[in-house]
Formats: sequence, structure tokens, C-alpha cells
Amino acid sequence: MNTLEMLQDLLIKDHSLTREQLTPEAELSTLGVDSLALIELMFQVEDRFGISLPDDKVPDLVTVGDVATFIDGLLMAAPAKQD
Amino acid sequence: MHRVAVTGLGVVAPLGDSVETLIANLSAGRSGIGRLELPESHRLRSPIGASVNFNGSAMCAPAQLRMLDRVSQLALAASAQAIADAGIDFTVERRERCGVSVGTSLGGASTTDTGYQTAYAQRSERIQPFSVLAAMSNAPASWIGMQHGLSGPNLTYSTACSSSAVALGEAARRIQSGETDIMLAGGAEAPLTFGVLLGWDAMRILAVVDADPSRSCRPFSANRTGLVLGEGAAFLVLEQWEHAEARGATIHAELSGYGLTTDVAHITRPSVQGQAAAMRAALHSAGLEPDRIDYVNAHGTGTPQNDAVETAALKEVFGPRAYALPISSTKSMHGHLLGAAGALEFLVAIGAMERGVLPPTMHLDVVDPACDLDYVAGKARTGVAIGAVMSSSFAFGGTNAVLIAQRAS
Repeated sequence: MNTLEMLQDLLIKDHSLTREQLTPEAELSTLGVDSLALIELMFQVEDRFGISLPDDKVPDLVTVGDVATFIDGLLMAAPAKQD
Repeated sequence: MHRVAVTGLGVVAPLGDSVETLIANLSAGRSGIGRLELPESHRLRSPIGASVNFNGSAMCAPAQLRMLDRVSQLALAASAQAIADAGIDFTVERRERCGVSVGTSLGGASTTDTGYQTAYAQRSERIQPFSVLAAMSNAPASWIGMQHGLSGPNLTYSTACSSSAVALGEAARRIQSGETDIMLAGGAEAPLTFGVLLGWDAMRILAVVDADPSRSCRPFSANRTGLVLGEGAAFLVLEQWEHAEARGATIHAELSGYGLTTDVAHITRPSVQGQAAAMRAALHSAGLEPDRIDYVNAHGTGTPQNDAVETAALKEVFGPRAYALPISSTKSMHGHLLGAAGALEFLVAIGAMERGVLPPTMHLDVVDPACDLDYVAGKARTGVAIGAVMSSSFAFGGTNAVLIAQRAS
């Protein structure tokens, strides 16, 4: 499963969204995923990939694709357990 | 001053998630108290409570539900019922003249409890980002306001066990003054988590578990041992009388009296003078002589101290007539809903007046010489003509709030 699909799964479960809505171009704010929901999502990402997010602020992430790219960047920097 | 009409009732409580079911169960003397099956509840001295069979997922989408503590979920459900009962269409109302007034003692207690488990037990720093917003005491009121677009006053009162009686009384004042047309007022409480219960357990104020747990709360009985906590929410639509009439609303009752006093003696110990003064203040604001009250829904917690003090206060206010005045504590059945108790019991008193049925005090097994009034023991009384009812709420911290409702006419 790639990062985008994993992200879609988490958002489908918690936000009653469909995979069709969750295109890489879809904007988080339009989908109802606000800044607090994004923090919660990042906690789940940490658990899922066994990585730690940097302590400094998460950069401005506008679209679903932005989030996937951000996570991919972290994974490259700190290769971690994957299943 | 404008008169205040009660045009809508809504409830999600032990023994009923509708007014009809609740009143029927109370009139039948059924108990909603039982053994609690919570994580860690076996560690409690008194692992009993009055819980509500309620699942918020039937009402909210998952994304919203995750932001709502159980206390807000219960509040949203009960307030929506009250609005439906009142038949109000807020799209045609001046919403800046419509407000919300909520009483809660503990707010989002289970969110706080979960957060501490994460922080201390699991030693994790990842507390839910929604924790602060879910736990804050004004969350129930805010969500109700947002749900229905009510942009007038949005208020939360926290005066322990009298919180929602205060919320109703203060809301009524905002209608009397002409400041608002409609106030959605009531209370919500969700205290049945291990952390909260342990605190109450430590005060040694909770009832000892009876061989039959449903009989553990015995207000006014000589063998009473304490209170039993319950969860739930009750809301009333309060409306300016002319406004209600103009839209052809069914008026359940008039909220005509509100008395508010404070004991300034001790943080928990009740005072005869303070309670009596609140009852007198309520009668004064309703413009009623004591003999016009036909039923009192007592605070009647089932603690040794409260019930004797409340009985003495009733005698002081009502004089010899106190002995002929039907008084009951429905907490014997639905438990003590803390911040939601005042609204729930005022709603029950209005329900009793509308139906002419006095709900009983259950489990009053042994007469206490210090509690020698008519507590409608053991069995409901039917066919009673009731013109006015009183509901009392007395709190830790000393805030005494008493409400009076009269038959709509």
C-alpha cells in the first residue's frame, strides 16, 4: 500500500469521506479536515509508520497530495518499520 | 416584565430517552440504577450508577462525533427533542434574540479522564488534539447554538448540583426582561467514568450498594446511605409568552418563579436557612402564597444530612401545611444527575402537573423521625389536580436554586 492509499484509508475511516473525494488535488479544508484534525491524522501517521514527526510546526499542507508528499519525505529521511 | 412559557421538553436520561417514556417509568416506580460495568469499576466501593442507553453515532457523523464529549452528545440529543416538541422553525425566528443556557457541573469529564490516562498511565504526550474543546464546560452550549444557529446569549452555569436550575432561572430572566424571545435551557452531565466516580467515592457520600442494587438510593428513609450518580440531559424551550401565543404553540406550563440564595457557611453542609430562603424567594417571584404549591420535587439526594435539612426547610416555609404537601424525590429512581438534575427534575415536575400524576419516592422503607412529611412513598398518586409545582436544587458550594411552574392558562 502506498502512502496516498494509507492516507485515504485513515481519512475515510474518521471523516466519512470516499476514496473518490480524496484525490491528490483535493483540498483538506474543502473536505472538512481542519488544522486540529490534521494533527490527529499526524498522530495516526506516526503510529502507522513508526516515525516521529519533527517538533517544529508541520508545514502548510493544502491538499491530500501535499500530506502524502510530506510523509514520504519523512520516511526517506528516517527509514522505519514498514509492513 | 414578560411571562415565560415552557413550550418544549426534551430528555435523554436513565429510564427514558423521551419525556413520555421517562414519566411513565417514574410513575411506575421503576429504578434506572444498577451495577456499572466500566473499566476499573470493580475498584470502587460503590460501583453503581444510573446510566443512559445512548449511542451518539446514531445522531452525528464520525467527524463531528470525535469532537464531542458524551456530555455534549447527550445535550445535543435532548435539546433537539425539546425544539421538535416546541415546533419551532428557527429559520423564521430572529436568531439573535434566541439563546442557549446550559448547566453542567463537570463538563467533558470523560475527555479529561481519557487525557490523563494517556498522559500518566500510558506516558504518552499524544493527547487528542480535540481534548480541550471537548472537555471545556461551555462545549455543550456552544454545540447547541451552532447546531441551530442561535446567535443570542450562549451561557454556561456551573454551580454543582444546582447548575441547570440556575441555567433555567437565568434564562427565564432574559426572557422576562425582553432581551430574548426564546431560550433553550437545561443541563447535561456525564460523570460515569472511573476517575470521577473515585473522587465521589472518596467523599464517602455515595450510597452503599444494596443486595438489590436498584434499591440503593433511599431518600428520606431512615436507612438511607447516600446518593447514586446518574448521567443524562434535559432541556426546555423557554419562550416569551406573547411570542409563543402568536405562533400558536402548545404551552406546557409557565415558569413563574425562581429563587436563588447562597449558603455561606460550609462547602458541603446544607443549611436550613439557605434552602428555606431560596424557596421563599421563588414563591415571592411567582407572586404565590405557599398554599398554592401542590407538589414539590425535592432535591432529596438520599444522603443522611440533605434529607433531614431539606425536610426542616420545607417545614419552615410551608408551616403546618408542609404535612399535607406531597413531596417526592425522583432521584430514588433516576439517580443524581448533578448539573443536569435541576432541569431533569423541573421537567419531571411539569410532566406530573400536566398528567395529574405524582411520581413516588421509592425505597422509603423505614420512617425517619427527622423526615416526617408526605413523600408519596412507594407508589405514584394519580388523578391529582395540580396548579403549581416547585423543584428544588441545592448544591455543594452553597448555591440554592428553586423553580416554580404553574399550569398554563
